Amino acid sequence: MKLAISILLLTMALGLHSQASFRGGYKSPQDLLLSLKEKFNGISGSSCDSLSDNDRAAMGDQNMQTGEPFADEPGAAFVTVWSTCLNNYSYNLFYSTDTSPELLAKRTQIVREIMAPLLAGVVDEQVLKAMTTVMVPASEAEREAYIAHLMRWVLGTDEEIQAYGRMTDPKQYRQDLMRHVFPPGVSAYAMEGTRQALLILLKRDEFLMYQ
Amino acid sequence: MKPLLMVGWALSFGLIFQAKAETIGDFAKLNRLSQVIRGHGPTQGERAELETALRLGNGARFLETKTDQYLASDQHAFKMRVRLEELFRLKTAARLLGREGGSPSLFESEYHEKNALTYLFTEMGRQNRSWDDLLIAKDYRLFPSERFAVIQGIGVNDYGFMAALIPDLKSLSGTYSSELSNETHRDVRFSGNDPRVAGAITTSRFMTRFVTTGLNKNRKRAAEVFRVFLCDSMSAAIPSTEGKDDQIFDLMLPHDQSMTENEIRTMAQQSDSLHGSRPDCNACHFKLDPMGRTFLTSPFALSAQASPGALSFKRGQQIVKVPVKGIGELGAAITQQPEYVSCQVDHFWSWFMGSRHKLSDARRAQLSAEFDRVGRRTNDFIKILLKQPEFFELGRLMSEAEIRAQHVKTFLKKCQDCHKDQYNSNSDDGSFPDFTKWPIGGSADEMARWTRKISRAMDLAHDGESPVMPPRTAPWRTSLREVNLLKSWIADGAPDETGRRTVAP
Ligand code: HEC
Ligand code: HEC
Repeated sequence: MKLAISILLLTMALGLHSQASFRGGYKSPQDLLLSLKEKFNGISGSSCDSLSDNDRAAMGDQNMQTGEPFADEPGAAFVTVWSTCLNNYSYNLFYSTDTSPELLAKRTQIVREIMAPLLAGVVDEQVLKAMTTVMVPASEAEREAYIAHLMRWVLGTDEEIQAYGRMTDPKQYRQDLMRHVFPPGVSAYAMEGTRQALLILLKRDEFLMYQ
Repeated sequence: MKPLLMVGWALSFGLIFQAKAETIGDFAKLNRLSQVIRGHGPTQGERAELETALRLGNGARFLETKTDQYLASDQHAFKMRVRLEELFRLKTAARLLGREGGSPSLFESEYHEKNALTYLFTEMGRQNRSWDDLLIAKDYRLFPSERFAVIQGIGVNDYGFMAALIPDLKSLSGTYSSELSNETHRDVRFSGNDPRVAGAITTSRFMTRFVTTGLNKNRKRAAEVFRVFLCDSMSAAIPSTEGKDDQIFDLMLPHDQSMTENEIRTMAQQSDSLHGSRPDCNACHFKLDPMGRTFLTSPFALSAQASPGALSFKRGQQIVKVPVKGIGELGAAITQQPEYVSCQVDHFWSWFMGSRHKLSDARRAQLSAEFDRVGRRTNDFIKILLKQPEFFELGRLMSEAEIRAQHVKTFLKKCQDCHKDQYNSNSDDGSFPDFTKWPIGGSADEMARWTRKISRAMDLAHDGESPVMPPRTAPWRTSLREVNLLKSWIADGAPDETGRRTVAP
């Protein structure tokens, strides 16, 4: 894990906040879960559809007796809770075996958004099938464009990302992320790499913070 | 993952960011507006709309329209509610409702969804209500929630709580009446000058969160009112033990976990005779006790009888004392104090700007005037804040020294919260210097003297083993982490935000 992309989330507490939560600009526990819900709307987050008292503390909720957050910044407990949530959602999106028509429609819609550049021309009925067989594009330019699309889906435009001041060179970041999830010269199905890229991007401070 | 985390932690002390006077672009503006008002980023569709608007040269107008839409959204009303719950130290919402489709669903809290206070909090943003309503509103939506009524047998629901004022609620002695359970809620309104009711304060949820006892004499409630509405934290009161929920905890732990029943009784007797005579007690209690008296007749349920008391506090060297006929008048009296206005401006500032931008006295005064100009209306004032130049500024990385200084000051603020009200027998005029204003005491020599005193008072030489500060009577203790923070800071010469030593090491 020597990759620069992996120094994602966590801990560079921004000196501003919109709500209690960890010191700095991290989202409140409610907003963290809502932000995920907004992306995966209609998909179950399993255990991440509500906040247990332990999760609250891990996610920086305030200690009601002191009015201070339980932790100054996201730590190991946060990583555990958050990773579980991301796994729940991404699993329920890509691997769910539930065949209810509403859920299939929701999954189709979200997968189409996420994998749009790879699924052009695929009809709705075929999206969930196609997602498992579509290959990573062979050309580096196409791969990079795809990664750029994923970054935009999760974090927004480069301008939005840079306004957080965390990532100074989105181009370089894209390259690093691309090599990490789609190793050069390896031909593979796109789905798992896509899921990995989402897991990494959804842990970025740009997703976890207000501004 | 392990080494990674450590890198993260190492970085956390190095990189934080801070304002640089450079404005962000339109996409970043949309993102920031959405994040801060709604709690999540813009949708793909909204980005596309912005693209179109920019092409047509309508970017600014588009952002303005979006701001209005966001402020009218459920998410905003919900966020304001959670902000208020945090401010009041109430348990925040917990359960995400599984509403499918449409906008992302909101949370529902476990116990408190259906009660007058949560409802009022949500209405602040939804109806753009005047912020003063938290203290002076006379209209309520009451809920007969059974769940809330039965928590540990000590809660009362809204119906029981208001029954003495509205006889046909038919509740017995302030507890839930099952006869009324077929009604989902009831809207009630009291006359504009009713001295018995005061917005958020006279609600069941507030009163059961901050319970009173024969010994406590409503001081806890008074302390909350001072903290929330006048930004005067009297640090004494709150045990720093890991908090469990709400009322039960506070009932079990009056002041000090280790006290026996007997000690508490003795202390109660002593303290009543001590109050007003010992200057160190009176420093806080001349504020708490007269305000506490307005709650006297309403230990659990709200009384039909208003109880007189007073708003009393210090403004500079002058004592302000406003006698009031009851809680209702107390709330109104508070809204008339300039301290209230600047305190609320501070809350809004930290919610929408964060601690990144310090609010100068001049800016605070200017924004206080704006707060009044818009009738103190919640969303109207938020819109003013969103138009301040700081809101759209680009960040810059903050230095390690700045972060460290911020941490030290956060800790020393807890000492200050008590000292500001105390008499210091070691000084000529009885005052303390503010430990969060550096150099402490105003000069390098004084700073050196005070860091030595602090070091001794906290027994830093022995890792805080037998400290005299905070005093035993204070209910909180310094954590080992805080001891280490202060110890290394002083050992390094008490560096300020620029990293410059204020004291020779
Ligand atoms: C720094 C401010 C401050 C000072 C000084 C102070 N108190 Fe208090 N006191 C409080 C606050 C705040 C509360 C409400 C605490 C709560 O219930 O959370 C309180 C509550 C109390 C109570 C009710 C205790 C209970 O557990 O319900 C007693 C009795 C009391 N104080 C006595 C004293 C005496 C005696 C002194 C002087 C030795 C004193 N206080 C000094 C702030 C102060
Ligand atoms: C609950 C109230 C309270 C808290 C909290 C508190 N103090 Fe004090 N402190 C006092 C009082 C009262 C005195 C004055 C005692 C006297 O006059 O003899 C005092 C005196 C001192 C003095 C000596 C002043 C002098 O002029 O020599 C120092 C130093 C001090 N405090 C440091 C601290 C530090 C550091 C903290 C935070 C860790 C702290 N105190 C927290 C009440 C408090």
